[in-house]
Amino acid sequence: MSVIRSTALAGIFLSSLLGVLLPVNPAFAELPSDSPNVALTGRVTSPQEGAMEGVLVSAQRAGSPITVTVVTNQAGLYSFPADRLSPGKYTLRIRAIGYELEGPAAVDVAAKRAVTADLALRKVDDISSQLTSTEWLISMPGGSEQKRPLIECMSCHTLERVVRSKFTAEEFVGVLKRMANYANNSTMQKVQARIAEREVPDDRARRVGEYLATVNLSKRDRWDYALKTLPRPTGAATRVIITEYDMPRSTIAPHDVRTDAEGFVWYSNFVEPYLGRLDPRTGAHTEFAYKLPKPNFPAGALALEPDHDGNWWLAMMFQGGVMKFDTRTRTFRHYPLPPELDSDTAQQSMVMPRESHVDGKVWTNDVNTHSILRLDVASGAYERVDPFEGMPIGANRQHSPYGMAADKNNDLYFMDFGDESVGRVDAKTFRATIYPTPTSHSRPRRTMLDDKGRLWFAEFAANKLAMFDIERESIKEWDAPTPHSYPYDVYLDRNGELWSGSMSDDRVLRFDPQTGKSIEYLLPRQTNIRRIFIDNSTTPVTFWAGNNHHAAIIKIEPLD
Amino acid sequence: MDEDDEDQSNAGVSFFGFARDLDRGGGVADAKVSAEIKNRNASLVTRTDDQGHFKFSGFSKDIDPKDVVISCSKDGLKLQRTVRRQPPGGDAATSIEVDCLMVKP
Repeated sequence: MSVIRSTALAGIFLSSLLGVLLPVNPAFAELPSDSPNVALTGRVTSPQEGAMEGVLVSAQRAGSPITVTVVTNQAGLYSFPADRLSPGKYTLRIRAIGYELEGPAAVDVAAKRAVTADLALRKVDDISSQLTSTEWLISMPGGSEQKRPLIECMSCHTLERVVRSKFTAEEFVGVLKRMANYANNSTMQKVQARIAEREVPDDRARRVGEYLATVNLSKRDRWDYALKTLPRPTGAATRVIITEYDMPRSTIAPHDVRTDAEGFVWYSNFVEPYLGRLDPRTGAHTEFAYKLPKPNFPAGALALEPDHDGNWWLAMMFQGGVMKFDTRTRTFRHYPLPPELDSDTAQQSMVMPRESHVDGKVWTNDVNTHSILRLDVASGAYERVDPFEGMPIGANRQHSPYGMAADKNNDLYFMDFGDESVGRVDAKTFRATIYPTPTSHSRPRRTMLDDKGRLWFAEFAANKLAMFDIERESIKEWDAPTPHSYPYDVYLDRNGELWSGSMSDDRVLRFDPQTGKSIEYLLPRQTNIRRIFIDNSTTPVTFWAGNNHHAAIIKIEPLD
Repeated sequence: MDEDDEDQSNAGVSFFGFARDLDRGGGVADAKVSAEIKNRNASLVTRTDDQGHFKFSGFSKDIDPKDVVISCSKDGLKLQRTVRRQPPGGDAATSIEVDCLMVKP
């Protein structure tokens, strides 16, 4: 059933990149370096600030899909280690809010000697194109309740599209109704319509539209509110190497990203029928294709989780059911929903096979019916659990089991993304216990279970990180340091530090729950992060995530 | 504007109240509070705040408040009894106050 498409990524973009490779800036001077470990170094300055700290400098070799980024220190100096840039012609770019390069920047990196390229920046005339969705939300007038519906937009695009629009309140009603009928697994590169039509009540669409018309350009040529920006990285946030691996097609949407024991990086493609694999040592990219069970429905899978034997399981979204990829035989097996559970709106976003070796059962969810399903792997039969039968529900509230984890007995822990609870389902009795979060309407999203029996999770709508202590049955919450960052997922590393990413602020959070101290690593470009993963086998640990909207996989290596 | 934001006006009764330490007086912080629903294979669990206060908001309308059993537990204390009352000026159909009265074992 599988089709393997393998590509040596180096060379894919050679012709296109050579066509746009920019001339060497005359300001660059090649100088010997005192350190044999440095390939490229330089100072970043601007007339306004002199030496600039916290400027991201990215280098991409002609023809390579790999971009390496470092950050300037307090003296404005940046430095690429020699083992990260092989000899060749590189294009340089920067990220510093409010600034741009004075001119095109390209440089030849030589073998066994450092090249120096000082970079001069100038202020941009118009900062608006550099704002993240978080910065737009911080800038906009209005209360949290007015802004909250906007967090749904970020599943498919940034908020720049919204604030630059000229729709009136009335026009927004139609726009919002149209948007509601695109599948969750849509990107601007691949828009997918739902099969079953969804209704959005007129009054709610009008209410949201009336607000949006106050923050977009429907009544003015320029925003009448100040555009606020987040600060550039400083201190520890500048000591990092970020590597981006571009995918061979712009339509690829890496959603969940995880490494395996052999050092490969696997990802679920949110909009196409492939399981992807990257070899970060070489940049080689391989796709394993599967046949669409429901060809007329939106394609793509969301959750990617390994089982005890290292096989991969995919939650098949609108294709229905779950899919197992046997890593030994490299074949797929689909477990379709039975007719009584299947429908045009059936949607499996999560899968949890980690402890399936205990009882032969794999957990998944059904977004459409707000319920949990359990697959018996041997028979292919599904059981349905409604953990919220008779549970609190009311106006503007509904339940939606989402992020999942399983304990050693294969009891299920899940996030109620529709509302505000952590839930547990006993594997033997199906008895459900619901634990509301201290913050109401927090919308817990993805989760991970650590080896001390603590469930760490992101409270998406509450802008918090949280921990559920299973033994104590208690929840602790921490505010995310940046407002309106809306964390999607968290991962606790072996040092007890919590990592998180989001769809909105182009930053990766590293947070110490013991001290409350945090570091936020700015990413080199607009990055829509979903599931995150920490490789604890490296020193320091390595962060991995996909850029869901821009066909790339991101690696972050802190320089501790 | 996705499916997670849809209206469902099915709100029923809410429960709120205090866990009280009858020996020392005052509220019991960080007590476990359970709401068991009779004949349903489910329960809700929360913990009291620093003042001993807890709240379960809005069960669905198809739940009879009489079928919801509130109990509290805390290491070093035992639940003597619970007291239910309608809050002053409150509507019994929308909110019920429950106090957990706790003592040393």
